[in-house]
Amino acid sequence: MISLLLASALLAAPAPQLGAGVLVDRPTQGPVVALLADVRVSSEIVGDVVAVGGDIELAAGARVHGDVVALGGRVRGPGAVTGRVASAGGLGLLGSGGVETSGGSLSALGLGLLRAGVWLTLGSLVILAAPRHVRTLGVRLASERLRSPMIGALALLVWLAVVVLALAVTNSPLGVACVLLAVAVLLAAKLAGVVAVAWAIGKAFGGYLPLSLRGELTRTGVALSVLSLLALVPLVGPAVWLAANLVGIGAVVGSLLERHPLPLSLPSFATR
Amino acid sequence: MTALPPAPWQKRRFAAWLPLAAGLAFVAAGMLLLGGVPASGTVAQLPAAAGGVLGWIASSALDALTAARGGSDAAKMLVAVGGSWLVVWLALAALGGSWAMVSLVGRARRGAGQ
Repeated sequence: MISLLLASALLAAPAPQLGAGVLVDRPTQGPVVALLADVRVSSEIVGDVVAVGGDIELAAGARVHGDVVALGGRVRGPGAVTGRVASAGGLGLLGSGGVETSGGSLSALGLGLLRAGVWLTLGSLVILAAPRHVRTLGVRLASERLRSPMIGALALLVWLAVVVLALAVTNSPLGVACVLLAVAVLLAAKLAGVVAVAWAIGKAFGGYLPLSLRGELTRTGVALSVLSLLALVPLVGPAVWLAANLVGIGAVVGSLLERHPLPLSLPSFATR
Repeated sequence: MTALPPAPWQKRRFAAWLPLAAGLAFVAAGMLLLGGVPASGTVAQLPAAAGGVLGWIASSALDALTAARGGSDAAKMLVAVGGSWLVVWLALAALGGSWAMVSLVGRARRGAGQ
């Protein structure tokens, strides 16, 4: 009877709105979902709270009877959660550094393994499906070790500016489309770049591997496995993963600019 | 050497598929340690929500195209739907596109002149 009364007293879950923040300040029936927006909870929620591309803030009086998940964001605040809290911050540029969970070290390890596994699976598929492209990027990366990280850092800066601009108009279809496209492009560049880094590492250290693992595909896969696992190591891992991302994205962007040189002519045209 | 395709026999070797198997094993182990996907019921609905978002974008674009017949009304609607930022974006795209086009023509001319 009490639970029935409680259920009838709960507000219905707010409809998920794209790009519009969700504020829950009264007892509410979950799930509460936000897309490309933050969720702020200062009351009781019976159900899950999920934010995709946004943070979840649990204020002092917040109590969530369910799981709290932030994909591409963070969960913060002193509020209480009876279920699991998991967040995968950012776009994986910082490796395990962006992964948090409240279920103890075992759950943290689980989330880290899940993330490493996804990258390793996708990377292995790229290596097996497009080995020539991987080699092209790897050769470029190996020959331009200093330029690639600089190009990668600049590319990330431009990407961030574009996303911020797009988020400013995120309530319009154009803004949403720009954000989705920008995220997809970054993830694709990141995947191709990390695989290229693995190719270069495999080429450099392939001689130390047993003979059966020295083949181009195999040694690249082994290097990718090592890189993915290294990203799980506290402190060192995120730094290594970030460096691999910068170098890899730089190689991908540099290769694209070389193949389609039109944008390269614009600066000289502007200075005339 | 780099122009040559990788030897096809490499894909037939068991070792070439080990990293893929390891990746899948990591995913399985991670799921096991996590005890399943957190908020699985809600997360399972996200692909459907993503489909809805794409549909909304497509229908909004179609609406905008339909309204574009109305001359100045279309411009007003553009501002109303996308805000002033959309106009800034369009202006930048137009300027950038023109710039690129002129540059392309200039390159072609220089190429023909040489």
